[in-house]
Amino acid sequence: MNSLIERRRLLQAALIGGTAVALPPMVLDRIGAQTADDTILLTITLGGGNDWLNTIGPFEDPTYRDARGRLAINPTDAAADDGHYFHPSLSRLATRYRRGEVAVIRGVGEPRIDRSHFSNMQRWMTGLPDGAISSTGWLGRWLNQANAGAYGGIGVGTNGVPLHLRGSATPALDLPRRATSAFGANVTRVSDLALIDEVRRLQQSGTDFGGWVDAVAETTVTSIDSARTLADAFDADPPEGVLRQNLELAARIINLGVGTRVLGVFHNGFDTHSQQVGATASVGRHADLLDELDRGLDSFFLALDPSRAANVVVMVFSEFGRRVRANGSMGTDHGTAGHLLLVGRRVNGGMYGEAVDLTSLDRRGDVAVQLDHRRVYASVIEDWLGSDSGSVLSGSYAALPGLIRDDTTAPAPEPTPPAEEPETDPEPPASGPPSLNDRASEIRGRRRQNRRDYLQKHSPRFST
Amino acid sequence: MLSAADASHLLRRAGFGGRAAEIAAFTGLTREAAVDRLLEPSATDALPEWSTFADERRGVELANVRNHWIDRMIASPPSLAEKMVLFWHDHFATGYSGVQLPQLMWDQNVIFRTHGLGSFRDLLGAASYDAAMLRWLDNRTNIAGREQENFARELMELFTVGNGRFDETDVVAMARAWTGHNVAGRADGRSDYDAAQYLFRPDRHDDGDKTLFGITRNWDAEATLDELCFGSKATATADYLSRKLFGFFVHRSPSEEVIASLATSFRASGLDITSLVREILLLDEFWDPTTRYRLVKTPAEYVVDLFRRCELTTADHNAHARMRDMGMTLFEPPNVAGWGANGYWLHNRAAWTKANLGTWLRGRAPTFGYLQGLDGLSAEQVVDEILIFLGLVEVSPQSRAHVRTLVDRLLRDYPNWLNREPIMIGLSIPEVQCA
Repeated sequence: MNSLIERRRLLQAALIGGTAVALPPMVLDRIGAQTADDTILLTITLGGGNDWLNTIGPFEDPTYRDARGRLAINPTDAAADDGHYFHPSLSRLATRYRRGEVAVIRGVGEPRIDRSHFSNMQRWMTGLPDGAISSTGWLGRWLNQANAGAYGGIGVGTNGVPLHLRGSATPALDLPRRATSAFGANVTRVSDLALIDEVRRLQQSGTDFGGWVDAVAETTVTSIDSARTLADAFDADPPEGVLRQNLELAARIINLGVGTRVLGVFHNGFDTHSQQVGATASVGRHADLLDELDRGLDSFFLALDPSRAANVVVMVFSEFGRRVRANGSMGTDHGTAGHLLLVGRRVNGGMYGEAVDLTSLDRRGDVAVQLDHRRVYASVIEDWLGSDSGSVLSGSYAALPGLIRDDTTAPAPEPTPPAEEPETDPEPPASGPPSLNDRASEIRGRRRQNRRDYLQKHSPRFST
Repeated sequence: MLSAADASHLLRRAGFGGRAAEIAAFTGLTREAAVDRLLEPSATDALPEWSTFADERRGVELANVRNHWIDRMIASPPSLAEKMVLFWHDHFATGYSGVQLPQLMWDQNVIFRTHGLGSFRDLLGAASYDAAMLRWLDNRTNIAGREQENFARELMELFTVGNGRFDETDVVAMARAWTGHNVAGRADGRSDYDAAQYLFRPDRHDDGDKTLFGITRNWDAEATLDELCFGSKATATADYLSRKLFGFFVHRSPSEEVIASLATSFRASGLDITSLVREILLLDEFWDPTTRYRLVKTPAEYVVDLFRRCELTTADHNAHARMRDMGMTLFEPPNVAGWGANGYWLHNRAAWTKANLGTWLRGRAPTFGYLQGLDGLSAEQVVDEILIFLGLVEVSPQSRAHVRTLVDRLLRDYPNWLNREPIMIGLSIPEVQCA
C-alpha cells in the first residue's frame, strides 16, 4: 500500500478516536509521505563563531595553555577523553560522548576562507562551491529533491527561514519560539477561531486578478492550516532559556509526525572578542552559552517521543572557530577551522579527523582547515537523509565513511537525568492560595482546551 | 486623466500607499502631472544630525536609525524620493552584520536619499567610496599583490552590468584597479568612525597595466566606473538598471522591446535616474488594468502603508519587529544580492505576522481612532468605509463579497465590535498584500 494512503488511514483512525488534532483534508494533502522511520536532521547554528578550542580541546597541552593564558580551561575541571577535554559546562554532552552518541569532527571549514561572519555563514548555509551567491541552501535543495511536503523543513525561532533550509519549491516554515504570533496557534477565543475559519473559506473563491493575488490567498489558507496543525506543539509551558525553548518546541514538532525532515535553530552570541571568560576560565560568557547548549540538547532529547528518538541526528556547527592566541581583551578573534558535532543514537560516536595541530599555524595564527564542511554534508545527505549528494551540493564531495551506525540494535531509552540540585530555595509546600503563576498556567490550560473543543467540533472531518 | 483607481495604483507603486485624501488629490491629474508631483522634493527632506541617534550602545543607535528611516517612510507625503531609498538599499544591499557601525548605515542611507533620483554615475561613485561599502564588500583590504575580489565582482554582477556580462579575468583586473582604495585605519588614535572612512593609499595601489573588458591600460577606480556607466559597458548597465527598475515599479515580465527602449533613453540621458523612473511610470503598460496588484508588497511596504493609514509611528508600535517577522530586516538583507520579490514574501511566518498585526490593530482602533464612527451605517456602507480606508479603490468582486460576508457577520453577531473589527476584516482580503 502506498505509504501516504496508509498514513492517511492511520490519521483518520486517530481522528475517529478523537485523540488527534483535527486536520483539514487540505492539510493532509500537503503532509509529506512520512513513514515511522524517516530520518530527521536538526541543526543548531552557533552564531558568531564558536571558540571550539575551548569547547572540546587539548586543555593539558602546554602550547594551548601558553596561547590561551587566562582563557585556558583547567583540565581538572573538565571531562576528558584521550587527551581531549569537554568544557566544564558540557558535562551532559560528555556523558553522551561516553555513551558513543557524539561524533566530534575536527578541523572542519573551508580551505578558501576569509574571516568575515557573513561570508563564512553564507558558505556554510548555501553549501555551494567558492562562496557562490545563492538564495537556496543545501538542506533546502535537499528538501526540494526529496519532495518533502509542506512541513518538511522548519526553522524554529529563527526569525525568517534560515538560508540553509531555503529551497526553490515548497518554502520551509518559520516558527516563532512562543505561540504569541501564530495565526490560530495561539487563538483561543471561539469567536476568533470561527472568524479564522470564515476567512479561510473566503480565500478559496479566487479573484478576477488571479496571479499573485490568488497566490496570497492560497498562502493565507496554508498558513492558517499550518498554524492549526502545529498549534499543539506550542501548548506546553516553555522551559527557561531561549535555546531550550526552541529545542523543546522542535522536539514537539517532530512528535506531531507531520512529515518534518529537517529543522534549524540558532544559538547566537559566540562572537567573544572580549570578556569571553569570567573570574576563572570555566565560567563567564562562553561557559554560559555552552551551558545553554548542553541543557538544550538534553531538553530536546527528553521532549522527543521515545519512538522517534533513534530517528533524529543533531548537527552543531558554527561559521568559524577562533584565533588560537587570546587577544588583549580577555577574548578571542575570528579564526578558521572548528569542530562539527553530530549527536544522536545512530551517530557513530568518537573523534574524527586529526587532533588540532597547535604547532603549525598559518600567518595569522590560525589552525589549518583539514576537512571541507561539504564532505560532512555529503555524508549526512547520503548516509542519513538518504539520497545522492552531488546535485544538492553542485559538486562531488567524498563522504566521510562511518559517521552513521546501522540500526541493528534496539535503541536504548533516553536515560533519566539525575535530579538537579535546586539553584534557589525550593518552593514552599502548596498550602494557602495558588500562586499567580499557577493561576496563569491554569487559565492557559483552560483556553487551550477551549481551542481543542472548538476544533473537534468545527474543523472539517474526512469522509471515508 | 487619472481615475481614483489609477491614483491609488500610482501611489502604491511610486509611494507607500495613498490615503483617501491623497488619492483624491491625484485623481483628475494627467499622468505627467501626477508623476511630476511625486518627483518634487518634499518638505520633510531635511535630514537630522547624527547626534540625534547617538548612544553608547550600538544596538540602540541602530534601532534609532532604523526607526527614523521607517518614520520618514511613514511621514513623507507621497514621494518617489523615499521609495527610491528602499530600492537602492536592496540594490546596494549592505548589511549591518558586516558594517558593524550604525553611523555608517545612516551615512549610506543619506547617500541613497541624496543621489537616489540623480545621476546613476554619481550614486555609484558615492556608494562605492563610502565606508559602509568598503567594509561590507571588503575593499578596505584590497591591496596590490593581495587582491580582494569581493567588491570588484559585485560592482559588476550586482550593481551595474549583471551576471554573464563579464568574465573572471575582468574580476581580477577590476580588483587590481580598485587596490589601494581603502580606509583611513586606526593610526593616530582615530575613532572607529574616522578609521572606517575612505582613503586612497597610493602605496597599496597597483599602477600596472590591466586588461579589463578587453582593453589594456592602467585602469583606476574612477576610470572603471566611467567605463561601466558610459564606455564599453554602458549598454549592459543601462539594460540591467532599466530591467530592475521596471521590475520594481511595473512587473517582472517585461517585453524586450520595452526594456531596450528604456535602456536607450536612459543611456541618452547620461544615466539620469529621474528620467528613467519618469519614463517607466508613464508607460501605458504601467497604467494597464492588468498591471494592478501584480506585485506582492514587501514587508516594508506593507507595514509602512498600514502605519500611514492608521497614523501610527514607530513610537506607537515596533514596526521594525513586524517587518522582521515577515522576513525583512532593514539594514540586514539576506545576502549581497538583496531580497527576493513576490513569491519570496509568501510564507507562513509573514502571513502569521500580518494576521497578528491585524489583531493588534483591531485592539487599538478606538485608542488611535481609525475606522471609527461606523454606527448606523448599512453593511454596504461599512464595506465602502473599510475599502476606502485601506486605499483599495478597486477590488475583485469576490473580495468585495468576502468583506461583505464578514461585515454581515459582524453586524449580526458581534455589533459591539464595530469600532474594532473592521480593520481586521479589511486586512483579510488578498489585494491588501499586493501593490
